[in-house]
Amino acid sequence: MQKEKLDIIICIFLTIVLLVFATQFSEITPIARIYPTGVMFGTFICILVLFIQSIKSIRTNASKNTELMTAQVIKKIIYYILLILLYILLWEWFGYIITTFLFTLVSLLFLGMKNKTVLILFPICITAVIYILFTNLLMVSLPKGIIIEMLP
Amino acid sequence: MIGFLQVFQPINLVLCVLGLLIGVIFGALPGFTATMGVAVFVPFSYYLEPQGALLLLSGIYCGGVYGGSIPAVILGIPGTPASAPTSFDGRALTLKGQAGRSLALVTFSSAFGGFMSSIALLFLTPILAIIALKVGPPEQMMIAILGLSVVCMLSEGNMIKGILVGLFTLLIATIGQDPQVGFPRFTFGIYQLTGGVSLVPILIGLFAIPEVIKMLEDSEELLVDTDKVGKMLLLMSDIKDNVVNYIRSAIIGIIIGIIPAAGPDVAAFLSYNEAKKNSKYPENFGNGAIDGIIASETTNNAVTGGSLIPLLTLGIPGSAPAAIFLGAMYIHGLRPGPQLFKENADVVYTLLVAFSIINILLFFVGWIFCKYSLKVLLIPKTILATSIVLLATVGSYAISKNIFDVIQMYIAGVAGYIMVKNDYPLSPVALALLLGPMLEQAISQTFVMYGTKFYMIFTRPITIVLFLLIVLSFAWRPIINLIQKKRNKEATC
Repeated sequence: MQKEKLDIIICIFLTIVLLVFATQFSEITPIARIYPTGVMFGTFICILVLFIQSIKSIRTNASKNTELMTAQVIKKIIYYILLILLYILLWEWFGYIITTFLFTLVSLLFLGMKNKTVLILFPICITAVIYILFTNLLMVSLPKGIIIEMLP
Repeated sequence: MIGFLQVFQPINLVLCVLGLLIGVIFGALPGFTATMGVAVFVPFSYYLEPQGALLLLSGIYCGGVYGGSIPAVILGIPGTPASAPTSFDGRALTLKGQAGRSLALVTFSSAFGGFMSSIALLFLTPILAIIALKVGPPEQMMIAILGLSVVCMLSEGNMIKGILVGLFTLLIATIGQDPQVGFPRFTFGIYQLTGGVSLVPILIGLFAIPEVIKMLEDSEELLVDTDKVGKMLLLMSDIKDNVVNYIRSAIIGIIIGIIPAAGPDVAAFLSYNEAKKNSKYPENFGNGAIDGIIASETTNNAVTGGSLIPLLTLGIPGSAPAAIFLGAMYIHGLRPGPQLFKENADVVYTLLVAFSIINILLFFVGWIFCKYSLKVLLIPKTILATSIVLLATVGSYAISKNIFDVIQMYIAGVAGYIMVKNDYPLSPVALALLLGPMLEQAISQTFVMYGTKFYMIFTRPITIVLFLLIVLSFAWRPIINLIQKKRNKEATC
């Protein structure tokens, strides 16, 4: 896809975000509105300029194509992001220790680690090191997990 | 004399080194900052004598500011916001196989900047304290605008995108309570946004997650080839060619340090911008420019001593860690102000002398730490990517023990990746998030002070100086281009 077409999509997306912010104005006091209004106005001007520049580039055929990633790489990235999403969603339910150990193991397998020693030792070690560092030394308590706490 | 004798007592030297080590680790970990390091260890310092406590906390402060540059260079992920400019060029040098040279420069520059600020702390405290007293909302407003003008310079190849990113982020920074009446804005009913967006998780996401996703794209097993890791190597030519840069950056850091609310983060960007403006090869910035690394690292550590000047003389902290320092001083029965130098002379002068020793020790502690940090480049990407995700997640959570911060971190991370892929610069995000709240607060306080007679701010000398610097900042590049065009014309004639 041409870079300029991506810029146009981004401009449209940012305009929608500005409109969503603008819908909140009725709930804000007049004094609190002044500064954000100025910033929104400036942002909109920039979006307009970028939009016009992109259209001009496409029309004059001066646009460049972006490097395309293979479908395989795109899938890999999407699946990894979903894996991370699952990890943080399960944190509160199953706690830090179980979810981190499982995430580390699955992540290494997903990314292509084949060494069995690393697959066993690394999840245990990193889960333990981070746990000790944060809870014992830095006094930051990590989630124990709602389901784990409910167990007798 | 008292100070020298006390500093070289074995227990005090041990506390200096221990503080530095703790600080470097805090700075290097994503989600942790020098402020946090100082705050965590204030209760531990209660068991020490006042001198020992202040030496430990000073070591953590200096080490923490420096420590953030290590992951910035090796992985492109700044450990603290102050190291964000270092990541632009430090990482580029690492990919060229010069990680050792980059880390050596970072270590030397940090030690130099910190040492220069300790000299200022020792000899210039009374003069610089007078400047600190004259700084008010108009000056803070001008500093914020000056800081934001850096956006134009840093996004020179893509100015409209840089300004767009900066303005949009300023809008994001308005989420939360407004500074005048405390009314919640743009929270969309999400109570976690009442306090605004979280700066540190967003910065972690912005810099860390795109690096992880890039590792997924690339099929290579290691970040760099094993023969390209390099050794710690400090080249005298790098220092000799940048003497002016070093001195200018140290002065910027000391002056920004004495101004309340502007910390090492703002100072590092300003100094990076100045280095780019004065460089013979500004096009190299972002691709491994040595002067960029030197500028940001010298300045961010020069802020450390500068921020203690108004703290010790007036009780006004010049940065967030200095504010925690103030709390520690009260715990140990020390009252900042002119009386401090009379009633607790031994403690104060020990601290002033120790600050110089700490920054000299920083060079050696940092050098050893960096030597082993280089080994990170030999870790396979599968392990590195997983570790970064874990540390970024736990680090973001640790700030307020809130899963919402982790969600913000990943949203910023995905947005950061899309930005990087489409040539939108990341640096304006960091600048706008840091300076947006300060700018809005300063503008509203200035209006309260002057009302409709806003022009009265130009009766303040420091405001005028800062305004001229802003004008120069915008006009610099067009003026240089004009002069060069004239010279080219004359040469062709």
